[in-house]
Amino acid sequence: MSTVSFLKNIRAALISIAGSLAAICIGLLLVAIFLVAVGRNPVETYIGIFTSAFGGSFAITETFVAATPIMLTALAVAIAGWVGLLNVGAEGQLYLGAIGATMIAITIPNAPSWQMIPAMFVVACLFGAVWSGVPAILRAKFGVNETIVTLLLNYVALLLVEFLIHGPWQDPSSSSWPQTMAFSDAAQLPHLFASRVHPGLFIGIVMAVFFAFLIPMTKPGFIIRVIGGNPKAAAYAHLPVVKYIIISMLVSGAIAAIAGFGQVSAIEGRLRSGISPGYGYTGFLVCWLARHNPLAIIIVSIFVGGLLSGADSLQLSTKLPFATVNIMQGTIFLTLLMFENIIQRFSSATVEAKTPEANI
Amino acid sequence: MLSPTAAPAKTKTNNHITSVENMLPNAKQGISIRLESISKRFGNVLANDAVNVNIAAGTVHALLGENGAGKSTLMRILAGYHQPDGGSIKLNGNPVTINSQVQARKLGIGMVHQRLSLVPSLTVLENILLGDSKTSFIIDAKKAYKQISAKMAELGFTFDLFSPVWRLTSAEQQKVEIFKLLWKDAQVLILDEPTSQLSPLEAEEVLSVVRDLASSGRTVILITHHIEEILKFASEITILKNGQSLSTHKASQIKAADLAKLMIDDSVNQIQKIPAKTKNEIYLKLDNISLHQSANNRRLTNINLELLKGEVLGIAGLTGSGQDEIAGILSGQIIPNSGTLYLEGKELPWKVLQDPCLCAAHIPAHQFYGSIPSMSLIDNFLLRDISNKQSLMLNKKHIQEKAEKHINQFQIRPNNPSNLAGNLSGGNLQRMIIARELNKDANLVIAVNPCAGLDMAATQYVLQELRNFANQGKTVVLISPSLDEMLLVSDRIAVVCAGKITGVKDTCEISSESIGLMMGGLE
Amino acid sequence: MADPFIVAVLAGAVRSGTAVLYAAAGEVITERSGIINLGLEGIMLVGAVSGIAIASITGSPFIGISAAFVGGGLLGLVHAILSIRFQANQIASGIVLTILGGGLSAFFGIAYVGKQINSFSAVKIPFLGDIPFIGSIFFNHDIMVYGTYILIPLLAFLLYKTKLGLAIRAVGEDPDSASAAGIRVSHVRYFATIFGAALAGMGGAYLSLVYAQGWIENMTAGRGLIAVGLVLFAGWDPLKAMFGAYLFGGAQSLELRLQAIGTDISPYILGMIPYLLIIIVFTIGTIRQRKVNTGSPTALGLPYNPNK
Repeated sequence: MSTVSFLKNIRAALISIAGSLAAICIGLLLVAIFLVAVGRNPVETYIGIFTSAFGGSFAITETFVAATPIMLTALAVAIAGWVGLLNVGAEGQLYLGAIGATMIAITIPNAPSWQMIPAMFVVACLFGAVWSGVPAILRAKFGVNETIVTLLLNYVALLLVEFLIHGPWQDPSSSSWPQTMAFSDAAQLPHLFASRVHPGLFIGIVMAVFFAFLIPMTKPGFIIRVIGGNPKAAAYAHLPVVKYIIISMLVSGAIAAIAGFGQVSAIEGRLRSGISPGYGYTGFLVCWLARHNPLAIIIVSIFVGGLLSGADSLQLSTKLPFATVNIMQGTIFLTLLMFENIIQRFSSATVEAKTPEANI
Repeated sequence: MLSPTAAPAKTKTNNHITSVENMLPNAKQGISIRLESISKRFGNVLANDAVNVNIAAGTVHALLGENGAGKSTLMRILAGYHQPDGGSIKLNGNPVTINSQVQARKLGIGMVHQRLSLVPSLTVLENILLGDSKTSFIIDAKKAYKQISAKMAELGFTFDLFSPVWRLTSAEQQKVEIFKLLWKDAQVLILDEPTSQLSPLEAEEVLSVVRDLASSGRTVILITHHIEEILKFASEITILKNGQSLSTHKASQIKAADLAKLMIDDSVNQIQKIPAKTKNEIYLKLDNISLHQSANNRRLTNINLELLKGEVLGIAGLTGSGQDEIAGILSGQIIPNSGTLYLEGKELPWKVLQDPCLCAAHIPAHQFYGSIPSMSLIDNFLLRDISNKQSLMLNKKHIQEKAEKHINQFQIRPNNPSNLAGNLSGGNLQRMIIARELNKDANLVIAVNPCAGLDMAATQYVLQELRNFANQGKTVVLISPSLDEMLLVSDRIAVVCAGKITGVKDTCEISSESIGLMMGGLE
Repeated sequence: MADPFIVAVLAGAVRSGTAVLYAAAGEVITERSGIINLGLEGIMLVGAVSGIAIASITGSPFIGISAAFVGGGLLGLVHAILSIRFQANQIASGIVLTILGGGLSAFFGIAYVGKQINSFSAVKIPFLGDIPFIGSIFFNHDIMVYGTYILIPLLAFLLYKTKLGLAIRAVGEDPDSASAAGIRVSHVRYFATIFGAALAGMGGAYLSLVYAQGWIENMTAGRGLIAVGLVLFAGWDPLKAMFGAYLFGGAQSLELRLQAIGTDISPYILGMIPYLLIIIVFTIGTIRQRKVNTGSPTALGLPYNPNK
């Protein structure tokens, strides 16, 4: 690559970062106006969020705890996105992963950790893959739009969890609470750095790096890029489009499921409803804003994780309802989305992974 | 409320002719046009350089020139899409400024673009009513039908008003576009390459309508590079070259060869045809192929076709007669319902044609099918090399060198291999696809409309390359709307009509007229 | 012959289906213009909360419904600005609206949890309501159900018989050609997006003001998405959307009736039925769509760039 085009790319990256920061600032300003309108002090609120997200080691580790499922679901969305599919079902796939892990944890409660954890991991991935496999096959065989199907399956997944924790899997010792019994110690992922950070974070980072290498540098990566860029050209060159679409979607579901496995095994220690406050949806937007770039996903997830954990703890201290987090998230994503177009106009960057457009 | 012609829409009469008549006393006799030293610059490109054209009222006037000669720009200025940097426009001797399409329409000037502006899923009637200021908010379809059919009868048009546009033939669609202008009371009709997608018979059909319109007093300007047509249907011809008006001729006083010479720098070289040494050696044979229904609702019945080594076989036919489906089968995109494939004498399964290594090189009908706009030229070249031979890791250096070689060989501009394919112009994108396909190690090339969007010199080059490919003992299948192209390079021409092969003839034995008749199923 | 259980289920189908119907009818108009609005979920929630808030302040459910119409329309305006002015990815914009609408509705809804409001009561239509079977299924409802009986044919008329409808269809199919014919593409799309979202807002208000008669967080439970799914099943036709909405309503009504008469099946399993039904119906719709093109707007979801 020549120096000129290298400099061009640097310039594009800088414009992109500056534009994103400007968009976030405008988003925060809009939320501030909202906070004033409902009688809150925005400065206090923001300082509160920042200190509970990044002030001190506990805050930082909590940010990483929240970033973990976001990173994994965002990667899941990205993998589907590279072959041109919109997987908006990471939320449901996350819950299926949680169900799979729980199934192992409560059916063989006395197994030792070295059997338990891999078994939970594998079954979680399988369950998640089944959940994404349904829309994948409907898409590949009949051309059914995967956006709608993955979204609807999220609701089914939630109801499935409700059914299990109100029914067959309910902890008999606490019949008033809809939740399973606590996992045995062997079924709990180890915590690191004397915090709630768990190996899921590293699985996410390793995966992101792996894909950052696979997609631009290898033959399967090239085929994935072609399918995502123009499936008609892929069919023209006789590339195995259907096979790649189904495999990508299965891998996508499996990775989202790892997020659910992490939530039940390392954070909650049991299955109950509400193990995810919409991580799957947040992951979708994170992936989209990182333009399907796996390394950018790592950074954006940590930022959004900080926002979520900061706003979450703020809820306790200032009695702002949890809904404020969603308003804040929604507004910031909204301004980022608005700026996306402006940024792209200014930086004529060579975008590697094309963002899939809707095709219904 | 949705029409930009809001101002005239408010007056109840809406008679545009009135306004033209007020300004131009002789509108009934038609409008003459005088373009005087029109100049237009786009960035660094001087598209029109002091162009002068005089167009008499009630005539068909042709603008002839190569791609990029400035024909379209000049006409887009007349139709109000662009404003000229200099020069003046006079209608019937009165100077006018045309600063918008709306104003051009008010002056009675309308333009049919090369890419038709019809909504395929809507009916013809709905397309005519779309954005029509004469229609009230609640559409009275019966009344509109009556009025429109009356006008159609008056002008001699026939098409089904209730048919969705996608069901019409290309010629009918072209006529609907022309009628739309007339419905809006256009007196000056600008037609940009109206016959580029039409077969000779269809072109004849459309152009005779156009000639009739001119003889009834309307002024028609025809943008084209099809010399034969011009001599038959236009009365005067202005040649544009490099943004300048070269000369104007009476059609009755000039010969085709002279026009061609004026239009381009070098006269057409004859393509070098080497008769195949191993003629009659069959490379591939399609035996009794039938396809019940393709994606476009077309079928093939009992196709028998032999492709010989060392030949160029042209397949001619009206749009949608089945030639695209035959190309689809040969390139492995479509698997037929019945029939047998023989490759070098051996009966083989259809899957063979889908093997990335063994499959044919294929220049597809639409550039979009053969390229990935969001990826670099390097990656687009790699598309054909991603077979089993390719190792798991991509060898970036090797790939880039190969791409640079292709880019230089076919003079693709801009020549940066990291450039995105989507940023290339149509002509350069076509060169990229041809460069890739002709360099694919294949025994068969299927070229569908390979010269679309290329200028004369590039067309010449591509046709020569296809010929060279055959001269090496390989096989080329050429499908093109231009019979001249096919006659120039093909050894044999197969004609398809309504999904059947109506004949295979040696090129030296036939004329374009007899092929035209076979295409229409008349011979 | 009119088994009271069946009548109750079918009458319930109309009631349950009405909220989805408002949203689906609006989405038909929006999608016909080439814009897909996946944010209906959030828009319905905002409609539900603004409906109940204004109705409980003013005491008038009519004003509540109007407020929902405006609230939904405002969120639709946001989607329109993002997808038309800024040419953003419409799916991403829809997800943003879902999150934002969910947040806003939950925030302002807290004050209305458990609050009593004046609702519309069922009014039996004289004569029509007395027709056996049919009467009790279709003509013994509240005014908002009757509203759809007028709205849906009106939308079909708008789409197929007026210049605006013609423009909407043309713009969704081939914006370049529509623009060449003098249609202002973005104006038409703004209208269709805002109007569609406003109707979805009314659908949300139907849930809070009439159907549930109270506010519950996330009370739409996927109905916005179901509406989007139904639009394809309905082949982008308002009248067929009515049928689809009642199909969904029927599944839900059956589920509730079964729970009411007591069955062994878990309510959570029964609750999956409407979603699974929509997935099946959506699949069937797609397969049929591929065989005969039933009016799928070709430019759906694609931004229009006139300078291209």
